[in-house]
Amino acid sequence: MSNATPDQRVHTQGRGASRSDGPVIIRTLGLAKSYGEGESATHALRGVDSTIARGEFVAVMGPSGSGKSTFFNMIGALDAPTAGRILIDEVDVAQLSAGELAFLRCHKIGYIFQQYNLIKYMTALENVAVPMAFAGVGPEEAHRRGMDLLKLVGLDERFDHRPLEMSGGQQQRVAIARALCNQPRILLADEPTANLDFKTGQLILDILQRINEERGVTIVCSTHDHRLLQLCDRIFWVRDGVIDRVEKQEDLKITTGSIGGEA
Amino acid sequence: MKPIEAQDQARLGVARCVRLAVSGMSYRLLRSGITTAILALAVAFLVHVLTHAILAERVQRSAWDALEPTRSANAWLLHLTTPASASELRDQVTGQGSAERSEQFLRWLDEDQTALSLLNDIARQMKLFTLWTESLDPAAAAVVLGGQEPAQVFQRLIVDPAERDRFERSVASFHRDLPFRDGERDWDRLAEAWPVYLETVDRLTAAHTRAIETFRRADERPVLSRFAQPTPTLREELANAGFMMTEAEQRVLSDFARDQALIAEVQSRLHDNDTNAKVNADLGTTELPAVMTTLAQDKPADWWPLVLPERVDVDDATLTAQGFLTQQRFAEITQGYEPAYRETPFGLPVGTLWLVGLSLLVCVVGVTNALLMSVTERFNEIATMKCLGAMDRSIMQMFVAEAVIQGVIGGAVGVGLGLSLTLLRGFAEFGMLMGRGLEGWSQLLTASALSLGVGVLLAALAAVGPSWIASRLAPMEAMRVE
Repeated sequence: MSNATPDQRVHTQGRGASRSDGPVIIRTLGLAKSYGEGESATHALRGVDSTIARGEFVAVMGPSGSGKSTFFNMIGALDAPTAGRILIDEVDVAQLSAGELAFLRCHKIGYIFQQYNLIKYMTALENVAVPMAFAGVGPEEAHRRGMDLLKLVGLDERFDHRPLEMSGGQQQRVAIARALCNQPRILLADEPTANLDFKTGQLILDILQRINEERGVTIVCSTHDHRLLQLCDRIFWVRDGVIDRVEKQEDLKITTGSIGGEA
Repeated sequence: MKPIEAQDQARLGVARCVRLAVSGMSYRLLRSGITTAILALAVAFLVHVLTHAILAERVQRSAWDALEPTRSANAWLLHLTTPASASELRDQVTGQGSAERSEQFLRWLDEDQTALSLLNDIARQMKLFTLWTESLDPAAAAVVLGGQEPAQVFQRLIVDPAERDRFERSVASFHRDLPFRDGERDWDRLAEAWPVYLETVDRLTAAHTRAIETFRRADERPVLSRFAQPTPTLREELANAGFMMTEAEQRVLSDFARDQALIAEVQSRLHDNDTNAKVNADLGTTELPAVMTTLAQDKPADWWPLVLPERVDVDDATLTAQGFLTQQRFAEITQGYEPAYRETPFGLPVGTLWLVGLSLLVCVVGVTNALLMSVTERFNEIATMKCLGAMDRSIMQMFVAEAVIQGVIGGAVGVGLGLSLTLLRGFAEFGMLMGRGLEGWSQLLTASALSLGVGVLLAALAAVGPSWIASRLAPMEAMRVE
């Protein structure tokens, strides 16, 4: 962690404190996940209790192998827990049918991955339109919404480029546009800036912040990127499969330096 | 606070599904090309086997029908010169044209209807028995028949009750039903009728011999010549002898006899040394087909007067030669052919059907494998789509849609390939006669459409397994697989 040089852009806004106390959108109760069985089982999560409020921006931090990604997948309803419950908008995910689960993933949650996970043979616009196709949105409407979102992430000029013709940052922006296309309430980002250079990463973070503030989308972001600490309302420090501590923005006494200068 | 509506995800429309599948396929052009090619090959094979069978059957059938006059003429020649044996008599009362023949037999038996129906009955039973023995597998047939002809065994069974017991035991040991349902009664009835049957056969043979003799005495020339150059009294002579020959049959036999006479004469003249040398100098051979080929053409050679009798018109000779060649060609085509109604699709032999089935199986395995590969290399894509809200069903739909598109394209190419192959092979086998087979074009189209359908169905079927696997993957599990 670099806190050597003081940053001019120290987070001074007193936001977040009230938001963290707002209505809960994600709640986990004794969440546990283990892979394998018996002696050789690895326990990725060992009982996580947490709540995330509506409109909150939460960073999930921790060393590799701490269970960060597993936690991320659990609250995204992408994987079933071994024990415990996940409630999204107070609905137990385990109670949902396959169709309802698909509906949840399609309409309520947007996902952003470290590897972008764009579909290689589709153009930017087609990629953005995929979730809308699953949601049953008509082609014209999908085209209109897709172009709006590409404009939001500043890529409307490149709508007909394929992933391989775009830089990592551009691909991640397309992925963000795709995640937003069905107006989700929650945006889950799994190390969105890990594969990007400093400046591009900053651009992505700016977009995430804008989405959080302008659209009120709840963002949960697992990351190693300390710039996020300035943006988020709370930080979950994950360690050995449990949430070690939760820090609120106002309690953070860290001032982050310009990491780009060091790197 | 508004809770999340627990709502079912919308279905993926067919048009969307097809668009997604097409864009996926165009990206993986090589893989989908190979899958399509496998399908095309399978469908081509199927189309070819079916259409060739239909074409060959049609051509052979038409050649067989065209040879009917020749068969009739030959049968009459035999009938007018040689007394029928017992088995021939049986064939004649049960086979083709049995009605007319029965009428004649009835006259030879002095209108003894009972004797004739008895002959008929035994002939039929014997035919049924023979068919029954043909339905046995070879090992059982060898034991049950003891290495003898079915007709012989049948005779012994009728006259010897002890033989019957042995026979029934050996049939029972093979867990087969007896040829007759109410065994005992039938055997007894046949045993009772047997002496009368033998007597009837004798009477018919004697009458036949007498008829042949009477007919021969009316005109001492050979039968063929009598028909080639008929006297005005020929019809009368036939009737007097007791042969009931229709006018049409007589005409057919006359034509046949004239052609045969000419051919025989040409052949005998070719034996003449001078003629032989001349023809050989011109053609390089003195084989009859080669000579006939030359005669069939419209370009008279200087040796024609040597081989043709003076009384024969050159045009007639040309016609005869053409007829000779056609008949030879037809005989070649129909070799080993007999019109038969088989209760298999398109009258295909069972062996061919097995081959078709096996090749389709191989094709299913190939296509399944290709699609499985296509699924595994797309795990990441599938996982992403599931994260984006794709239902299991939608994933399956996409893969099946892809397979169906490949099936349609591959099937269309396969039909084209198979039909072209059939036409090429048909032309090589039958030459211009193939046109007779193409008259059954509606059947050929049916077979093609059927094959196309089978191809599409096959592809869809092969896609179900892999797409099932793909759709069941948990999103994150699939994403971990790289």
